Amino acid sequence: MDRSKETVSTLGRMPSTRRHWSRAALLTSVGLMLAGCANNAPQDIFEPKGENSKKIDTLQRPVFYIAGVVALIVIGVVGYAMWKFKDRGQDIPEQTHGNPKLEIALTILPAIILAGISVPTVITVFQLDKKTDAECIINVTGQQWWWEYDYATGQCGDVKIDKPIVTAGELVIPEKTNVLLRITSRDVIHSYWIPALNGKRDAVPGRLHTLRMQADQPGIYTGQCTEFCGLSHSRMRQAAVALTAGDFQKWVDNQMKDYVAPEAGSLAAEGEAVFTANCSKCHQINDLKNADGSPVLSEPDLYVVPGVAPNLSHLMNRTAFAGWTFDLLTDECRVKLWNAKPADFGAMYLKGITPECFEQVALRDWLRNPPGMKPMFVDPNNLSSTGGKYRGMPNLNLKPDQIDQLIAYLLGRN
Amino acid sequence: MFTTGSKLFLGATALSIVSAIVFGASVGGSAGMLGTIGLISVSVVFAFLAGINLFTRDGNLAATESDVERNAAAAQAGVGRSMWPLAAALGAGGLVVGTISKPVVFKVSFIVLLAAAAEWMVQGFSERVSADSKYNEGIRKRLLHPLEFPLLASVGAAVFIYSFSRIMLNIDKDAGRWVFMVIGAIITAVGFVFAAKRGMGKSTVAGIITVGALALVGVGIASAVSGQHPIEPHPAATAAVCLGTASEVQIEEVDAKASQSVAAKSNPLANVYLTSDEQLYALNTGIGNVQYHEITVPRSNAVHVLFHNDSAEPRRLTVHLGTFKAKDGSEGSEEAECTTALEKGGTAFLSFKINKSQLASSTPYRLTVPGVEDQEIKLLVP
Amino acid sequence: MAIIERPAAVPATVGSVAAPEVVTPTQALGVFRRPVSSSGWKSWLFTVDHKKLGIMYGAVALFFFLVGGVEALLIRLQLAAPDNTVLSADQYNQMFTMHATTMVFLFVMPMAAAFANYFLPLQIGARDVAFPRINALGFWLFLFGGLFLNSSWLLGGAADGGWFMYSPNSSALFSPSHGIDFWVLGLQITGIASLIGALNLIVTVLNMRAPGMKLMQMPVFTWMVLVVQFLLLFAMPVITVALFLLSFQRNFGATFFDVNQGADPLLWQHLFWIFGHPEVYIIILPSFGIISEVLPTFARKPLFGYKFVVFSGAAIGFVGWGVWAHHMFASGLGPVSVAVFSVATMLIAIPTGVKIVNWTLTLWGGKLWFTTAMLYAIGVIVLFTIGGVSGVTHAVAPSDTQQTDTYHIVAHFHYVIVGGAVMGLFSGFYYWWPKMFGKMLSERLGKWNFWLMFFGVNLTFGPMHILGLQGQPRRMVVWPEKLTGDGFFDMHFWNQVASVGSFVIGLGVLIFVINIFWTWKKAPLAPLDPWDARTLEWITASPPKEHNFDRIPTVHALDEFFHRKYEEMDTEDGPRLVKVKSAEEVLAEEESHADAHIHLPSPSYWPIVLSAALPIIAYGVIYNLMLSVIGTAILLLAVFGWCLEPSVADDSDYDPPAGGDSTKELATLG
Repeated sequence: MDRSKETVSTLGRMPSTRRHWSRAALLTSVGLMLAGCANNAPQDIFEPKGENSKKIDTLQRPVFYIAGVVALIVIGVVGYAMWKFKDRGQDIPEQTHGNPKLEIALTILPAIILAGISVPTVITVFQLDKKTDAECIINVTGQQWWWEYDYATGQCGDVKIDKPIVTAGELVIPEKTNVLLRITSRDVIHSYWIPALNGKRDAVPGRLHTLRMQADQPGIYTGQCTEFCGLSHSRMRQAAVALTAGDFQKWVDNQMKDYVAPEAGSLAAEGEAVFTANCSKCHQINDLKNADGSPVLSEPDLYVVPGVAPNLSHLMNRTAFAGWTFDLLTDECRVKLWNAKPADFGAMYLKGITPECFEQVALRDWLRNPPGMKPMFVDPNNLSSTGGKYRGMPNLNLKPDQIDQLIAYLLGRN
Repeated sequence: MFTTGSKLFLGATALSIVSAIVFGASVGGSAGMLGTIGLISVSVVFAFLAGINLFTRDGNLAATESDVERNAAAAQAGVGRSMWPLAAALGAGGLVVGTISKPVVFKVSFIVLLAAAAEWMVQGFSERVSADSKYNEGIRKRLLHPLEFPLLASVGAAVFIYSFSRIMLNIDKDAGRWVFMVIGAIITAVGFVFAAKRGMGKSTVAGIITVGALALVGVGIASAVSGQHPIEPHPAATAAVCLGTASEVQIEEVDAKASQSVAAKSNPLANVYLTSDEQLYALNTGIGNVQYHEITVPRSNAVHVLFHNDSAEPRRLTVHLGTFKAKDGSEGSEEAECTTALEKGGTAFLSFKINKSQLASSTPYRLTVPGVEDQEIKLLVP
Repeated sequence: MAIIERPAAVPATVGSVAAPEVVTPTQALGVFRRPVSSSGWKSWLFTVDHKKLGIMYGAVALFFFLVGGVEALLIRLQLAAPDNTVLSADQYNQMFTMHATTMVFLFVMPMAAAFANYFLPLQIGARDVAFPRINALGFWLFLFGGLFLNSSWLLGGAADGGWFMYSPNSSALFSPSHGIDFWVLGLQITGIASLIGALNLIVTVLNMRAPGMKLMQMPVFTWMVLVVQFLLLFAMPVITVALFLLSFQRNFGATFFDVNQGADPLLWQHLFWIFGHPEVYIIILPSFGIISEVLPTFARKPLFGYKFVVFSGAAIGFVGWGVWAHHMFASGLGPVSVAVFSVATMLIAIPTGVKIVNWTLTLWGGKLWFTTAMLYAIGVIVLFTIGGVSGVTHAVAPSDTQQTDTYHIVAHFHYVIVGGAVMGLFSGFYYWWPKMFGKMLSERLGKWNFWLMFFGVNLTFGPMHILGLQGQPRRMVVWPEKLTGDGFFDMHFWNQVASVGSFVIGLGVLIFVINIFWTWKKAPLAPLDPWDARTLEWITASPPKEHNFDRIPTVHALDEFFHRKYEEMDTEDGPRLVKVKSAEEVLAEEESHADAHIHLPSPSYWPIVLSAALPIIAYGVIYNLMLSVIGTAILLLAVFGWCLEPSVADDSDYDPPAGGDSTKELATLG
């Protein structure tokens, strides 16, 4: 309640009451006065924050108005007729069979309205499909039940990316830059959707679909997989984070920095051993080395159906994990970040998960029993259809002290 | 008109006459004379008895009762012709032939035999249901039509489809589409004529359809006999072919009559161009004008790149898929996949999937064009 | 339905002195005689009477409506609070899959079939449908298919892929339980029912109309049913093919949708929606037909623009085939397809709009009588309009990429299906109950029923518009607390409103069930023509006799019955419509000229036996093919029985003399 009285934020704050009213006018038609939508609903489709979503918004607003007005007129006329022509003992009316002229007029009228709507619709469809003017391309791959982002080497806006960056869940993009997502899937069909930035695009295995993304200002924009993709569909979430060019450079630099091994003998160093022994079969941490100096190879293609597991090199630079479902930030820190002013957002975001903002409970629960937190297809007795491969993360039966060590280790992955 | 008894005696008469002639001709002497006379006497007796029987209607009814004569079982039309004994015999014969020749003959004969037995049985049964042959025929139909119609329809459709497929396989690939269109057009046109000319005689329609069906089946059989049009064997490109280490012959086999164009159903990850001066570069989908020499490829992802050859030579695009240790620890050989060799201006899709990080491979992942030196596009697989 | 005539003269065999044995078809071959009971349970099990079948269709569909309703309530309970745990993710996925499947395939479609079966022959003045045994087969296939489909709940879990069953999520790799196998085979079985029903009704309408009735004099309900049957005729084969492909992929290793073998999963989406979009009109048009009967009756004037309504129905039927890809705007079809389908989708709004305008103008200038049936019909106009205009917002493709797969879509199609189709069916219940059972449903309970449902629908699905626009996606077992937003009217609030609303609808339906029982036990007999109705089905007794009409009425006009009752008279105030005959008088006139010979089809054992074989085959496909062999044997046996059974029971049973006392009355149910 207090938060709703704060000043304008990056998120779904209603900038004017006019928009409130317009939606309300539409929805009176269903007999519900929309006295107030939720403030700050981060996936509100009437809160565009980028060029593409604004195009959609300009198109859909008049359509909603027209639709609302048409509904109100029809309901009004029906209501009036019900009152006016109620049986009050009048004569049985003349048995007329209609009025062709009126009929034709009332057929042409909606045709004209719809023709009027169709022209801007077609124009917008083609504008939103343009794919030659991107300044940055990112490969987005859906799988059960999380998203992977592969940043192609080359220019991304003003920033040069020298070696591939792989992250999961949280898409980081430079603001005011035409980003083109190249979306596909490794298993079933998913759909990528960041309502504040653009509409949905399905991720279909075997096909590559493109989706334009552009954010006007720094901030975090949440989304959700919107094509039903099985057991944990509801726990396959995502977010897009827009940063200024300078902040994006810092983020890229951080992603490319060398591996920082934990101090020998520390709890985290024990964690590294636990990680190498248990987690690295599937999860890659870039440049992690075995004791003999050889690189630790993750081979998720041998253990999980999609063939990939999230790259954890910079886990603590993301704000949520496991399909962007469970927070790594405490509630307080998260709200602060979500509501940060655009000018402050980048610095706050780049701090990553600091020990004071680290929400341990979910991560610990997760390490203890992943399928207990997020339904997945990992019962070892029931994997005949997949030839023994998991869909999701199985319970590794870690001991409490191993979990402590892992947490200490992972906290350093920023 | 002949009653049962008279038929017997008439037969016996005929037999004894024939016997007398044969005996007389073959046995000489007095014994022969005696026997011949005896047999002739017997035939006279039989002829007399036959006459009596005929006159008295076998002795059990008054000769004047014409109604009864008409209704007598013996006066009813004989049972109809039956093809089933013949079919059963053919089936049995085929069974024997099948055991010493081909199993398929045995199987077909077995089915024919079964079908004939069933049909024969039902026919035999139905002919004894009542004395009315029309009604009996109705019974037969009711028993067998539920089986016959679907089976015959399936067999008919199968023959039709099989004939058509033989024709299409026999003729040339390019002629095929014309034949298809022409046959389709003819069927449509004939259908139109039938629909328009409602007054057309039933037999005319049946005749036209029969001629069409026979023509189709006939040409189908002829086509089946003459065999299929040659289909180029197209061995898949092996790693050796892709890496240029295979023999000329193997390479030629892969490239023979290769398609030079593609119909893209969705976006490729990148378009790879070999320019006329044999420079190799890639355009990343989404960015129009930057020439890339390395592409980032997500792991375990089916990736499609579209290769365009603008050089004068026929060229193929090869993807080097790395070298991995075998299970026994020995060093493996480099894996590769490639397009067929493309003429100038040709395009082809190259689809591949890389499951392991580049760390796992002892050779780099990359795209090359065999025969073009120093040109490659690195594939970055994190 | 071959009829084999008995031999004209039976020849005596030679020498037989005793009376010659007469061989009649009834006794031929020692096959069962046809059943003859016209009362008791056998009369229902073996009936081929379109009215009994219609009642059974309705009863079973209502049962499945309750099943689907309970599933819906469980879904709403789960969504009433964030991160709720009423259902597990797996249960939830099964629940929404089966809710949709049950409501579409086992309630709305068969309920429309119930009305079509019962009233279509009556409205065109026929004694039965063209193929009565096939009609019975259709019903039993629907019942057994529905039971088979729902038996999956007890056999390892129901289908969990959503009713759209997108591949590859529906493959055995991603859905290893047998649920989807049950779903596929169950829908195949009910699909056969729809297909043969469609053929049957098309032939009936085209061939068996009463003398004088031209196509453009048919009641609008009959017209809409006819359009629907054509849609079914062309749509069912598409889904049948798609289901076969899926079935072969899951059970026999085919690779139609297997991406690793080079297949494109969008193939399934195209096949499904080429069926699925016409399906939408299959669901809604019968209801349009019903309210096009109800509105004129209670407005006391003919339907405004009869021809426009009929042609717009046919137009919807045609254009409905060209808009399927609007379910796939986010699938990545490319801008050309998206633009074309977007415009085509807007086009279909035009004939739909025509209907709404005509219904509204039918009310205009009328003498409105607000019975429950009328209230439901007006409810359809209002709710369908809301569903229709929200439909236009997603015809705009870019806008749809924001709305699709959110609760905005859920709101839209529930307004269309519950507000349009289901409310229309309820209008039909109240309007036709006295005709079917000779007793009126209580109007008092009916009003409660209507208002609870009307408010319930708005309370449940109205807030879903808001939820969807605020970004709550569909098919999610949980929605997280942190995305609810702030303020009193947050997503939490609206979800709770929707859940409360769903129970209000549930209460409304409960009252309807109570109303049925009350009517059955307590209600007095209904008058012959309680609504002063307009069409042929009211020119006969309530409930109609087994042979429907003593004399097939001759038709001279649209709204024949009305024109027999009313005539225009010149009075001092100018011409006025005056009632010249009561319904009883019209009926008495018809009965006094009863036809001398009425031939009705005999009941048959075989439809129920034949349809029972199909689930056995289907269980065999899932568990053990030997079972399929047994099922096939039963199937063949039934086909033989069907072909061999005599064409009539016994002539005397169903050939009552004029005014004879051997005409059997139907047992009343209501």
